[in-house]
Amino acid sequence: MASAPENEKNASAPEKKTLTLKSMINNEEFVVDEHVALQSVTIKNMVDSDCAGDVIPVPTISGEILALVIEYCKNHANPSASEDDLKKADAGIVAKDIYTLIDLVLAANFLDIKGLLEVTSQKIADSIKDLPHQDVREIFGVENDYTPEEEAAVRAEHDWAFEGFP
Amino acid sequence: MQFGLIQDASIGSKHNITSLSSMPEYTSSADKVAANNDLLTEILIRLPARSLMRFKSVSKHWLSLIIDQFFVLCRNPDSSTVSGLYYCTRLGPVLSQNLISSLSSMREIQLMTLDPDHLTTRLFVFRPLGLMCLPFKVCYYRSEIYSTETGSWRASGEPFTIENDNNNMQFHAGVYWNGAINWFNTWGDSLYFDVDERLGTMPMLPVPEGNWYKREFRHYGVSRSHLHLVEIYGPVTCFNFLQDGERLLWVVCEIPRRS
Repeated sequence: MASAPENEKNASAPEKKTLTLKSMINNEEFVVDEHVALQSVTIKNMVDSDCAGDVIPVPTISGEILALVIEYCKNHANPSASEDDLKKADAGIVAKDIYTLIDLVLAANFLDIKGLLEVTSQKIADSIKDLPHQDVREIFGVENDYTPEEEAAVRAEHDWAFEGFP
Repeated sequence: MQFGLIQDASIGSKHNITSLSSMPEYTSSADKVAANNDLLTEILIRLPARSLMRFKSVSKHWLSLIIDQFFVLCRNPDSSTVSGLYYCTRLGPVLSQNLISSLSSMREIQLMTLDPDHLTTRLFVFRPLGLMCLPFKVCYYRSEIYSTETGSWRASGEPFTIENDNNNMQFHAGVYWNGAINWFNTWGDSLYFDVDERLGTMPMLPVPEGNWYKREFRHYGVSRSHLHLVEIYGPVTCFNFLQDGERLLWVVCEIPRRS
């Protein structure tokens, strides 16, 4: 019976289907259980409509970000994880710099993973809420389309919100 | 089959720009978020009120998202009906379904509210520090917040000073409006306490000329996102409106009463 694990694995193989997600940015591949990957509505739709091959190419997400997404999906696919555990795990996943978070929120949006979208959006909001609006402009690459007069007028409406800010 | 939905350049922040050199035109992740109204709104809706007011200055596009009626509604589904606003005096807790009627005890004012912005039950408490009125007739207030999650009190914000020439600071009304609880004061400025836990004063219009030494207010309340103050001075009835998002703008209508 020494080889039992191998046999058991084979015996249960049809139950545990896996999918391979491949980042087309750096060709990194991730083998994940299907039920983990199906937390992505985008992937679920593909699988449901028989559009998914063995390897699912993900064209717009880097391996680094895909790894975070899969970590999130794994955590949330675990039925024995408590709400507290998930909260802590989520906090760990989004403890990243703002640019990584922006990549992550785009990935969550593209793969349609609601929970990850929410927790990442919240973290981005928390990261920028105390920044001057000029910094926020820079982070999001927003061009200032106000004339100096217009900008002063918008600002004057909410002077109280600018106390302590440049 | 590949994902067929996204045809634009790859997601990837500045650090992997080199791997995208074959792309005809590189669009950074931040640019993509900034150009995606749904995604941007998803982030903006999670910001506190003060940040949103500042970020109106980011660009005209951001301004349009922040003042969008749907956005305002999503963020604050029904700001005029805070159902759980309570206060207690030294005599014990008083529960008020219709927000707060009035309270003029200077010694201890406690106020609890369900904070609609954070969807958690919080308690706001105002207590003058030390004596009721200190020298120079200035009262120091400190607010404390009770968290039902942790079961403990914590100090909230900086202690707050109120000029109080008449020894008569009052806390009438207690109306939730524009992200803050607003109290009406018959002498001097009125007070508000906003969602960012900041206590402040709201200048009031001067009392009309005549033998009126204090405000003769009849109503202070919110309707259709406007804060209304109705005052009656003899033959003149004043309707004052504070517009949504405009803390300092008062519009006055005087309606002469028929005698």
